[in-house]
Amino acid sequence: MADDRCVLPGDAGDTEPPAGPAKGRSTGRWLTRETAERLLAGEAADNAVAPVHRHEADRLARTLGALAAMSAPPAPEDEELPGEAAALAAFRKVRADRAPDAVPAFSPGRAAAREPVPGDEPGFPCRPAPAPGEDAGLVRIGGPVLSYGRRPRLRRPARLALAAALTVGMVGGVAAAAGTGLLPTPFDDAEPGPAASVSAAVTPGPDRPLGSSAPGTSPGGTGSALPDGGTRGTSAPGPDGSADDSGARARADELAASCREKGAGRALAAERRHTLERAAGGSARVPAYCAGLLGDREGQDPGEPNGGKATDEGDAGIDGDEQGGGRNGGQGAGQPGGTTGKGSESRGGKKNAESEKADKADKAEKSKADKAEKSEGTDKSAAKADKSAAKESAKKAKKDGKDAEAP
Amino acid sequence: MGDDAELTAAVLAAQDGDEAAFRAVYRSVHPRLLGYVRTLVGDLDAEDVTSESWLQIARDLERFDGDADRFRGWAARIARNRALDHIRMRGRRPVAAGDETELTGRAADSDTAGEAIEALATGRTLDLIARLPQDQAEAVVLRVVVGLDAKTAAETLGKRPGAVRTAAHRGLRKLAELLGEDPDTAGVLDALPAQRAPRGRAVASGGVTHACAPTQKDV
Repeated sequence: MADDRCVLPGDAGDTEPPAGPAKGRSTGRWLTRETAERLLAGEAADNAVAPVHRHEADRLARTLGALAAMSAPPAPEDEELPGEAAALAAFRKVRADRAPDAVPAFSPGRAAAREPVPGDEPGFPCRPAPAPGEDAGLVRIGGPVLSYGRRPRLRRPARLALAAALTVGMVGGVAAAAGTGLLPTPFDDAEPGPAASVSAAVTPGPDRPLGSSAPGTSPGGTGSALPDGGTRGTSAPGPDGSADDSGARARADELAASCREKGAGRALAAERRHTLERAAGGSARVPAYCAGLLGDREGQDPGEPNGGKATDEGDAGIDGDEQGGGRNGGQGAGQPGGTTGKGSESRGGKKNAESEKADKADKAEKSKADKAEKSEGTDKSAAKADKSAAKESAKKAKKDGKDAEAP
Repeated sequence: MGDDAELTAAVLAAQDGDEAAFRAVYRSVHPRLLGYVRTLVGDLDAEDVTSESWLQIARDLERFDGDADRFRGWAARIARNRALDHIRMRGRRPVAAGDETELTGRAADSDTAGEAIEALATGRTLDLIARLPQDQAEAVVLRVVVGLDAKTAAETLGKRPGAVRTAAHRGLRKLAELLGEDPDTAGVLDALPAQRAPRGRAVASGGVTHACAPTQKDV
């Protein structure tokens, strides 16, 4: 620091003022940069100043000395400075607060940084090597690291968007559930509860029920189903496991079967009719409900099979799907009966349950377009169906097996 | 430089949670910090402001990185910010410390004539400093009272080192002029020893043994 600076021979000569005691603007003439530095560093001007100005220089030095005396004198070691206890308490508190998280991560890093240094810098044996990004500018007060400020801001919109999307989805789901679930109440006073529960179960998981029951769908016709299938296929990535599905699917299957029978002009058993009416929200709504249900099924059927197998085997899966769709359509139309229809469709349903991630809508359409190719696909799909069947419930497995062999 | 090395080591140890090291840091830096704050807010509030500064220093210590010099500058910057907050609150002008009554009281309380003169000299000096342009006064005070070099003082003030160096030099010239025009102050100052302790050594060892009680509250 300034101590190192020695008086250069030229200093005095350079600074020598023209003459007489300095006055006014000339006052500073003797005060060169070097002399000023010496004084600021607490040294006497001494030789740096010509004798004529020695008095002024000394007086300035004394002034600065008095200024330096603003500092409180260092206290004896055993005497506590004012505020020392408070500062120590603050230090302790900060440590205590941070102990759990900050300290462990901090200390090792610092220790590691410090080790290599001692040799390099004899004067500062413990000085840590300045890390590149770390506090190059000395003073970092009050301002938390700015670079981190950005990220949260970017993340926030994403989170908001996600939350918004989820909210919309939830609200939509609730609305749908309310639509089917609440309306029934006026028609069917006796059992409001079940209706709500059924509809709720059906609505959230449109894919499952549709997939499994779809086979029977024949009344709805292949064409009508598609629009629904499109929506569902995309929106229903098959979130849940097989367990939930099987229940809902069974119910949906039953409902679909009921619809089919009803559509075929047969009379339903009282119990089944009740169930159907409950699900539909009243006897008056049964036809519409059935149309929707069966329509959905058909639309979905083709799509779902894809989801199931597509994951395992790319093309094969698709083929299988297409076949399934085609077959279902054909069979469904041909056989209004619940049993046969179910058999063929059960495959699709299972596939869906296993993996519903593939987008079904597109494939469903394809499948129809590609019905011609089904013959090949059938075998593959049958094989797949078998696998899935093994995983699923026993009865469905049987059905699948039959189906697979049948085509 | 011995003191600097010790302070550097103490700062590092304190950052690792060593309480004794923090105490050493406090004892090493506090006197100058308090003196600096006194020049900013006056004797009456200096201790409070300095205490607040230490709370923040303790809180932010982990984030500091550097040697003893930088630590002094960092602490000074914290103290300066606290002092400016304080001044804003009080509506007081900075660098206009002790008024006459405070100084008189302190002088009367002192034991020896030497102390009285010192106190008076300090007061006069502050008066002189207060007549400097703000940037010059700050530069001079940071360098003389806190003992920072030009570079660290510049960092403390958030300016370029060249600007701070120039400001300090101009401040000294201005001071010399003022001294020439002010025989009273000059007379008082003439009674003081000419050479003060070079920085790095204890300030008191240069003949300024025990200037004054740290605050008026002690009176």
